[in-house]
Amino acid sequence: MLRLVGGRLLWSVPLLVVLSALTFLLAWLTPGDAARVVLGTDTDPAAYARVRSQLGLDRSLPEQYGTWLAGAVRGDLGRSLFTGESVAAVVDSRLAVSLSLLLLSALVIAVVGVAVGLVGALRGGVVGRALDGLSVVAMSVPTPWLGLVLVVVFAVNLAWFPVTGYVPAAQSPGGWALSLALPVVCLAAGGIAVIAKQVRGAVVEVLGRAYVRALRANGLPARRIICRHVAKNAALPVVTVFGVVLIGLLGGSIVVEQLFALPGLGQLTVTAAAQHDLPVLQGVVLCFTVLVVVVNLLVDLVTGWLSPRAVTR
Amino acid sequence: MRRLPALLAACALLAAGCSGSPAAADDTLVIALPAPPESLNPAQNGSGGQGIVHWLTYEPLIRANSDGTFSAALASDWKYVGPGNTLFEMTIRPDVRFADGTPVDPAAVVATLKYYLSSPGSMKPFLTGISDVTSDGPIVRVHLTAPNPILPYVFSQLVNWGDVISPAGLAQPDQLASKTFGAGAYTLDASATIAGDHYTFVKNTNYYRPEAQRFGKVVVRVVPDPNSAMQALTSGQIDVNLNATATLADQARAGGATVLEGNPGVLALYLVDRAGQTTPALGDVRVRKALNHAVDRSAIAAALGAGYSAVGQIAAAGTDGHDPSLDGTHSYDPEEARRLLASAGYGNGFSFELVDLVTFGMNTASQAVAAQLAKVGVTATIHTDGNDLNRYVADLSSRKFSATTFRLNTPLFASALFNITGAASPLNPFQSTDPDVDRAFTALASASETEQEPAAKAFNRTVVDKAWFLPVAAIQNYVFAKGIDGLGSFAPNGALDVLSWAPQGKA
Repeated sequence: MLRLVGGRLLWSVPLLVVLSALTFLLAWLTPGDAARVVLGTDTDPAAYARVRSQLGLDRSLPEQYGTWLAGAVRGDLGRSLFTGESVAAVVDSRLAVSLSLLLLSALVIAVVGVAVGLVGALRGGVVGRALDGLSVVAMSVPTPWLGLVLVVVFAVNLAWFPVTGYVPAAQSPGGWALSLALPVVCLAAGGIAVIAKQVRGAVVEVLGRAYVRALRANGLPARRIICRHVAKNAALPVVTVFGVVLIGLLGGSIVVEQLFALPGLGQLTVTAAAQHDLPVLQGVVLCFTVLVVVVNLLVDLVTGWLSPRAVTR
Repeated sequence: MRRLPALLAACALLAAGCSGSPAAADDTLVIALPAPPESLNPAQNGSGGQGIVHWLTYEPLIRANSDGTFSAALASDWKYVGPGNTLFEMTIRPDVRFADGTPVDPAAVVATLKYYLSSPGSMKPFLTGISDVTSDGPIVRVHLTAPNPILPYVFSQLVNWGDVISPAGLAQPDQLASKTFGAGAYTLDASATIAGDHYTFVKNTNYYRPEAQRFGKVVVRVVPDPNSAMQALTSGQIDVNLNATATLADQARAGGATVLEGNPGVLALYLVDRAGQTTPALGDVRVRKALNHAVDRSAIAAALGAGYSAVGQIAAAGTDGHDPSLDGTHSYDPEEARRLLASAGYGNGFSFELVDLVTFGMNTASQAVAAQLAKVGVTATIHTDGNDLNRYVADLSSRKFSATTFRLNTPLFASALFNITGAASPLNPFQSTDPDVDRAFTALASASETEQEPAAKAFNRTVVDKAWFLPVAAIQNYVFAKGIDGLGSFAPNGALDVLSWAPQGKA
């Protein structure tokens, strides 16, 4: 297991380097630059050259990347081109928001998705089909639309939740939960549907296997069969899909943070990309990459625990 | 399935237990912006609603009011000296202090203006012509090499250049982007601010007009989604919504908000090849007039949607130089268009290339105009640069394109200076000149205060008569507010009476 973790972590180093280089290249290929953003409609070429030099944009791409990488290795992610704040501080101030949103959504997806899937698998019939239909709907509903409906019904008309914004947990735990309730539902809806369908499929498949029939024939109680024997075998594909869903949440969180005006990393990504604030963009991408590495590692660990054969190869 | 109702019930309990959403307290003004301000440094911020972070924190030299007038702020008095608008004097009010307690004196004003003159930024062209700034007792003198009749506007909060910065701020320009160093009613509370998301402002205890500090605290929040901002306003989470669009105005009213409309811009085709260097046809005024007659502006404005109205000139209604009679100069008349084209020798039509951007509905307007021009045999080939301003500027400079669609909402003199007569402007790539236009511009530039409006109208008439543009539609900007007294209006130049806004019932 240690070898697995070590290997994964070792592999994540080249991944981080390649991704950061790719971000640099893509941002460089994107039309416009920070100097143009600073100058807006002031098109004086002399001013443009001056701002570019002030921001260090007149250096070659490899040189800019080299400087960034050298700093990053020492733990210095640079400063925002627009606010002058240190990127580490900017990312740090927003990480809690995104992590809250992502972890709560993951929790909701896991609990609700598994529950719905199990009910669908065990009940079958009308309930099963209804849940299936609901899953398809939930998977295909566009997030911005769902968000707007949630806001109109629960935040404006019922006034149970705030429409937008984020309350730090340290300031008010209740406020924190309320400010995240709608964003979490909005972000989790699609994932719940995917996991529910996966759980239902996996459980039905395992229930149909010969050994389950044998256990049943031996008179074991249904609850024990499901908890002891079915769950572990059905969990394997579900965990893999859950990992994919979690990584998908990172993208979804950008939309949800914009919609609910949450000061998270997603919102920061959009602003930094629009302003060509490369150091900030690099910091966010780095952070997202680390999250992906961590999620994949966790999925591997859980998979290994569920089925040692899958990883000891 | 049993867990779902349980979950909902738990949410409901949680909501009830915490007694609803944290509605903005009466003493706090919450304002929503569509995007973060480009910079907290006045030298680097752009125009429009994002300027609110400076309106709150930097006292301007001259205050632009929402009724279109200008009133004293740090400058108690101002005037042009002598004829020709090349020397401007401001008397600096005594006994005003920056938020840090140091005095606002003429030396600080001179140092600030010199800093602005040396800093590149999007509003820099407004300082064109200023050669030096000096002080003499309480008087600050602005010396110009070329006349500028709109210095009260330039030194107001609307263009940032009147935002006086304290010596401490000027000593460390790096800090200007993350802190505020003004003499305004409020100061930034950095500890309650996350740049790019929300900015918290608290009272400046040294402010010279404490009666104008009508709120204990002001929070400027970035709410990128216009629908979310609208819902936040309806629910009372925010008080003033600057992420307001024409399409949401009716919904805002239905939700109990007051809708302010103002700061109009004009979408127009700039027929830049006025000497016919790339497209010879456009060198003929009859052809440019024909293009103007070929376009059904009312139909285009209706198709563009709420907030748009037909316009036949580059000065929108309410802005300086607007003359209602000019809207009829080139009325929709395809027959007349064909006749003019034939008389200029282009009876079989001609084609030209047009470049534009997708932002602000510019490309949509290009397409609508091109479709109408096709009906009189003129082919406009549209080349779109997406939202890449760099490529757009390069394309314009290449002189390959004889026209461009653009939307501006700057005062007529500023447009004339930067974009019509100015040789350096990307919107004047062929450096068009015309003796009549030059004469009208010179008259406008050096007009005394009382002569300015007639001079602006005369300039406007000249460019309409020469058909230098193909104006399409005017578009309004919006502000939605709820529970706020003393809102005032939304001036054509974009001024809002932010310091007169008050909690409802306490105005």
